Amino acid sequence: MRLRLLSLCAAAVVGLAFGRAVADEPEFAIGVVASVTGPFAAPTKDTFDGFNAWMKLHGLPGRKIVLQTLDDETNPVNASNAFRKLASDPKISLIYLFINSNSAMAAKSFASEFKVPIITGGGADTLGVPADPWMFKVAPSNRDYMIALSEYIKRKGYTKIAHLYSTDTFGQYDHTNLEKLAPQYGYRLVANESFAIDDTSFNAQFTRIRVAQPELIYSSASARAAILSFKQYKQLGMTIPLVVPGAAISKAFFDAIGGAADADGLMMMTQRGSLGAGLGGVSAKYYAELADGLGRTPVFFNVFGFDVGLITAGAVEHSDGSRQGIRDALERLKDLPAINGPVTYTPADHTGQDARSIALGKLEHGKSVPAE
Amino acid sequence: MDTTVFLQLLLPGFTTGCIYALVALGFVLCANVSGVVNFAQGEFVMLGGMAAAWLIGLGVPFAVAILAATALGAVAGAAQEVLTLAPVRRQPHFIQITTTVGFAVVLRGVTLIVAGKDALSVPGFSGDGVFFLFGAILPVPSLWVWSATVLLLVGTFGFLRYTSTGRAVRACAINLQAARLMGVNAERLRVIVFAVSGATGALAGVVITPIVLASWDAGLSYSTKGFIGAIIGGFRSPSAAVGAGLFIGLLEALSAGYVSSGWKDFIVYGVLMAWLLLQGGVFLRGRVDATVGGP
Repeated sequence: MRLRLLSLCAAAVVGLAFGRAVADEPEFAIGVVASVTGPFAAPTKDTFDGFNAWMKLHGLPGRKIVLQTLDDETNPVNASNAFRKLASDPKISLIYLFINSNSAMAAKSFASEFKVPIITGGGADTLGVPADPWMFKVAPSNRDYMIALSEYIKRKGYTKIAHLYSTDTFGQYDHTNLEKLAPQYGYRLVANESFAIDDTSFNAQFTRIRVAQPELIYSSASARAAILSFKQYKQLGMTIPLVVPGAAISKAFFDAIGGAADADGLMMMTQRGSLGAGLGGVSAKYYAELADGLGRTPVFFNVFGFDVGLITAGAVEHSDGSRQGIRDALERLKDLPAINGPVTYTPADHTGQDARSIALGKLEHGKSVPAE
Repeated sequence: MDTTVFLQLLLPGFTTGCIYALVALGFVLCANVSGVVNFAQGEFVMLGGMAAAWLIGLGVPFAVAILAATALGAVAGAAQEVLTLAPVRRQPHFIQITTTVGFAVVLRGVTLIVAGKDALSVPGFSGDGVFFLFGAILPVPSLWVWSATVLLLVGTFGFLRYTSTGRAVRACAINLQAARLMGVNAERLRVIVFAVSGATGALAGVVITPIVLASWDAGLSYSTKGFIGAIIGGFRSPSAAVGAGLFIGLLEALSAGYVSSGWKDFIVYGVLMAWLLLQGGVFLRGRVDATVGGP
């Protein structure tokens, strides 16, 4: 296994640029397990961009953030090893997992072993419930997303739905939740098509979906699979409404499909942050800051990265700075304002954001607008 | 499912099969002249795709990018033989094979550093539109894949059949020692064949990229499927390898379409296992001494 130690010195550079006396500030070391390479690399890059924008604008007053990043190459085994290595370093006060559900689940199995607070990416429900005392998820659970999608399906009166899902943890949870919710919301899954995240052809899946004649397709694909599946959906001339996770939409997605205009009409289950201008309140203020910091319209994982920063500040500022103190402060967070939606943790539920943060968006010229 | 659906599954499977066929061909050609299974074969496909996408992204004209990517594949193939395989020629086979795996990892790593981690796209050389064939909808870049495959196969088989170098390659495949005694320069031939394999794989990578994107980590999948094709083809006959590569592509597509998308890899590897067991004589009474490389 190859693990690359990538020291990101962005905090110091940004701090100096803003004239802060960072040299005198105590260091706050954060370990990051990130998919710097592999199929999940594009969302990870977006996450870092969002987090760096937060560091540039806010950071932790009086502390110099030092990130120590290990690449898991989008591989759960590597993620576990990288987590162990970082967690074993006593200088590290907090660990971020900027990785997919599969890898995050691998790390959860021994999250409590090292007694270091973890803020994790990943959409799988079981990352947040049952709660591991030391692991804190950010995004709403798959079930929250599927409830929001099911409500949309019911409002539109659709009864035949196709699901294209990955064989990884995220896709499996999506599928299980949809299957459970279908009877309750009055629809049937008429096509259930799976794929591996490194598949390059989705032709067979879309052919079977077309034959099943659904009224709506929900694709759980993200990263490279989202790009390829969307390209092939377009190439096959399909006009059945397509809904994808917000995580599917990234700069790499637009670049690869030939530009934002080519995705017009594509719908996405996303968190409210993607709707930008319509947010209002503190969320809108943070969103504007993020957009300014990035110099472009933020995508899903940019917002996630920024929110991770806000959660970090919310916990660190109300703790003694120790691992235990930060963990306890995280668990006390209640309706912490963030771009995507309020963040709340309880001892029994470490999911973070909930259904309040979910909306169905539609892409218009690269921007997300409410679908309804 | 009707005929249109059958063709909608079959023809894209044929497109993928073309790439597997070219990779399988490379496996067999390299094995015939060097006795080594070259596990870097799929990386040439990745290299061609990444190089073309990267160059086109830099504004290099299509034709120049395609030629440069193909040439890069040829150079990489020749370099693999000269720099990594020739020095271990007298080592046991497993060392030589491990060396090809090492070369594949290096090629992947260098590509990652140079071209970056993101999947790269290339617009179709004659547009990204679609065309209809007996009711099936296919992307126009498929035509490029089919044409390039035909061109490469005709060129390769013409080279093997009608040129003195090609005949020497075939002679080496039949009996290396005898070919040497007849004055064939086997070392030179190996370099030529590895360069041709590299160029073939790279061109395959270039033409498939508008359909599947190019990514630094895509080579392993092509290597695996091409290897299966080469095994089923018997690892001796280039034409059998091509046929088997096409078969794998079609099997993958049809099993995903008619059985389940979740079962396609299981079916492909299941066929490989069944084939190996059959070839090994497992199902024949009294034949228990079959091993790789003969008894």
